[in-house]
Amino acid sequence: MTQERVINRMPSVTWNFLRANDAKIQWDEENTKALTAENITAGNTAEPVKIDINNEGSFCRKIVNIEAAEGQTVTVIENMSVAASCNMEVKTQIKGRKDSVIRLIQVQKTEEDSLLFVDVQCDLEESARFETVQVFPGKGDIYLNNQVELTGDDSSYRSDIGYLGQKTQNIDINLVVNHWGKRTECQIQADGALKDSAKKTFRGTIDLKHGGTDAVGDEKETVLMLGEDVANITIPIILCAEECVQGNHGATIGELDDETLFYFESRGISRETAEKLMSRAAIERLARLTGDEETEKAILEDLEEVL
Amino acid sequence: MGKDNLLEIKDLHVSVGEKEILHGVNLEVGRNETHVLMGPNGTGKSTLGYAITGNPGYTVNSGKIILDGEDITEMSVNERAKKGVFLSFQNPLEVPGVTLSGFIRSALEEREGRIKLWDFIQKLNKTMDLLNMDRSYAQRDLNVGFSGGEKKKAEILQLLMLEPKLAILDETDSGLDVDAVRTVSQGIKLYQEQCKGSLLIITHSTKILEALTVDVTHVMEKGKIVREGDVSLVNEINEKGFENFGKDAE
Amino acid sequence: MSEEKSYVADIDRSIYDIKDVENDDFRMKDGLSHEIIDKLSEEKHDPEWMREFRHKSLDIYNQLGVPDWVPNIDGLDMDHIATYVRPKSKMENTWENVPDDIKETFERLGIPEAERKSLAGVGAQYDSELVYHNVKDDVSKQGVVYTDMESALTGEYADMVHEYFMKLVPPTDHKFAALHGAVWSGGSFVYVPKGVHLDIPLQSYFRLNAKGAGQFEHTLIIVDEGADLHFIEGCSAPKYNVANLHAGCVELYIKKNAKLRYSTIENWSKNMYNLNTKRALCEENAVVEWVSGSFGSHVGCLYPMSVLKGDNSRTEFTGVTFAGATQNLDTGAKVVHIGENTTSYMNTRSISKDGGISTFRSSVVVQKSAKNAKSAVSCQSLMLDSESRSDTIPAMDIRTKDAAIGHEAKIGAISDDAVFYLMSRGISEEDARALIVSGFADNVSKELPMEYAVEMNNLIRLEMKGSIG
Repeated sequence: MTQERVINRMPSVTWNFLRANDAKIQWDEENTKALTAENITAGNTAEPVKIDINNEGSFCRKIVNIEAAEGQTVTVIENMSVAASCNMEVKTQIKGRKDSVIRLIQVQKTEEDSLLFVDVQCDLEESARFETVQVFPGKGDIYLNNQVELTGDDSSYRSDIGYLGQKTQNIDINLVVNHWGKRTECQIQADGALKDSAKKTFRGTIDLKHGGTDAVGDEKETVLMLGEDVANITIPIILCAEECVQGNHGATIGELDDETLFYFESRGISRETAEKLMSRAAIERLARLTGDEETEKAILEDLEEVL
Repeated sequence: MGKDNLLEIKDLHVSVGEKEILHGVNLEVGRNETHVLMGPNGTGKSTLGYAITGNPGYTVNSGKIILDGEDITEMSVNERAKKGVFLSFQNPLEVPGVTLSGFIRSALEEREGRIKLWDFIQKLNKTMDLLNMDRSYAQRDLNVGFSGGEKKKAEILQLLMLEPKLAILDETDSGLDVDAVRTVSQGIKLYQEQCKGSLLIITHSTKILEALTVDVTHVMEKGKIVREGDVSLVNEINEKGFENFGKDAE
Repeated sequence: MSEEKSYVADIDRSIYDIKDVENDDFRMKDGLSHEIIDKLSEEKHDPEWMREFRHKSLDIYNQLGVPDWVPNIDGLDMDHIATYVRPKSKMENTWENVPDDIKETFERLGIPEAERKSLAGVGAQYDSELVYHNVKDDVSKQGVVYTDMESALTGEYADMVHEYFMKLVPPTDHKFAALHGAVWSGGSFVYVPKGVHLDIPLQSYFRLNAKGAGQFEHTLIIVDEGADLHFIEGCSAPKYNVANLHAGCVELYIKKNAKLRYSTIENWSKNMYNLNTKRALCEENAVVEWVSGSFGSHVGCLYPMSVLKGDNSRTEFTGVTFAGATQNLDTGAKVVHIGENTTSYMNTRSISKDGGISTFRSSVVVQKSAKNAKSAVSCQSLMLDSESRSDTIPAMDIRTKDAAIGHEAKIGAISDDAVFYLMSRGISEEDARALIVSGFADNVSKELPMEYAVEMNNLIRLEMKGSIG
């Protein structure tokens, strides 16, 4: 039997009338099939480790553990696909030891009426770096929870998120970055476009903890609103308990801005074509950012399919 | 009229917000001619460029802009572009997610319908080589992370690919080193020769003009054209500066 | 000096030394009862509808819980609310009992003697009462009504009050709005008739200092079509009250083509829980401008809300919050875009020092009907040390594609370079930092009338004193 499950709750909540402090999903815990867990330990290989994660049954959960030993570098590409009317949770737990670099690329291909809950938990030691490229061109509902602990001094995190929401799709994102160490850095960029009656919620929390001196946190969001019935909720939070830090946030939400439109039009490109190009832009940018030709091609093919 | 002009601007008054910037500009540019527009900062040179291009932020209060015998004063930005108006931006916009090549291709397709990909790539590569641009730039996001010089080259690349009838170059040479100015200047020369287009070059310096044949020089002050002449005017301004030049005119 | 005596007379020990009076008759389990409401209503000669309104509000108050997102208000002794509102209770105090730090602040700000006592809730009658009456006479010549809420309730504009009272902030809005509905007393009523432009600002300063006022006061302002008003609430001197809860309510109705600027400099004493509710409703083409400086209180929750109902209506919110030692100030603004071509603009600064907590909280809701809505929010926070906190919690809920919404937030410290630059010109470090903080808050001081701006800057300088260890 399914029960309400509360996920993606912000560490610091706000007005309840906004109904955005958390997300509620229907989940059948009893009948959740546990998929074989993966354990990846970084060797010094330039080749990315690729994992295909396909749903089994109505409810399933996959756990992926990634550990990078001191000074190691690893790239993991997770290809997730969920069939219609199915629900899948993918939990990736990451430990980055001193001076390690971990890149996690998550690409999904989901059918309509499906639900995918992507949960990423990461803890970094001194001078470790974590990068995520999360591309969501799918058709189903997406819930994304990234929790990053910048525990070690000089550790850093870079997050790139790209989506294209359409039809009645619901995209729900919760990002929490805790700056514990000194000189820690995070950079978050979440861009996307919403068509038809798609809904997107973005909660981003940069928590500059006491003692994490000279930390820098930066988040940017651009949402291109294209559909008549779209809904966008953005809650970008900066919590700060340290004097010598910098926290910045910027969000731009709306139609194609005048400046961009003028540039396109001055080259003879109509508003309609400009909007088409820009609705793909967030995902195309990330496809190139994956640095993996096969993945890039797959993403662009998925994009063609949904458009 | 007599002469068969490509561009005719008649008594053009243009405002930005509440403020009128252009107070009755008259200007004619013949086919395949190269015109230079000079003048002190803040006199309305860029405003004229934007008004011809049709930027919605610039309101035409009165007067006419005629391109190729057709009144384009009320026309939308992209319609004008399709008729052959091109503006090279002073600070080209960065557009993440749209590649330089994808952008140019879209612009061509809007005008001509589906184009042959092979021909397009051939021409793009050839033009990029001429401009000393690394071919990898074609697949990079439009202007994102480009240096000042690369951005200007990307503008000239668009000019040569789109082959407009009228190219307005707004301070295309500003902030460029000597080599980049030379390359850009060669690109413009190519446009003059191959596309047989007309040019209106807004500039401060003469370096970019060295390789080009200038037909007419216009001097703008306080929102009006105050003097017109041949290429010698450019040299005169450079020797005397605008201040003294203005006094001479009175 | 004959008035001097009245300042120290009539002390009600049962209020001030409440802990000595274990068996206080009025001490109730839930703090408030319908019986107390009846007595209050009788005392105030309420019309029948208001008596009923108070009772209904009390029921709502008893049903609602404290929201889970607000700062901790455990220190607020709700059991004593009954005491604050008990009819015939004297909200007075003695000058001797006013905390020394407040007396010192009066001294530093150069507040006249009589005013000091009034601000401290010690005195009641003084010169400002006269000033108030003069202002009242002056504006009434232009047809403007400026009176206290009690008189308005039964006077010529009784129907108007009935029509608008707590319609914008209904008692169901939140627990403290319900409390306000049940026990409100005092406050101002302003009506500006069609087309009247008042060239001088109206200042509630004179009214707030009246005896016992300023606890649950209700402000109701109606600016009729095409009219223009600037209303100033509060003052920069710390206002001391024995009772430590302020749950006022401000309702502003701005009709077609009308404009209202509502300025507040709030500096309650640092034992105060300031849980105030302010809201404006804008009709077509109407404009509301909020200018808000929050300096006082122990805990503050203040988010003036603008409802942009009419097409082309507009709101601006300009605010500064300074949270020092022992303070937790949760401030910001709310906007709801309903009409087409509506515009909202927020520009706020917050400063945290000596363990103070400041939170900027906002919400911008753009409904589907609000085609071509534009909104820009900019908030900047300054951390003056590492014992303090500064949180930024903005929210945007956008339901139409035809909108342009921008948001930017920045948190950081005073730039060492700026301090160094000023010191290299011979300014002491303390003064340099004070100057930089004043400059940081100039978004608000620029919007205030001169004398208020000067007072605000004095206040910042005072807060900054001794900030170098």
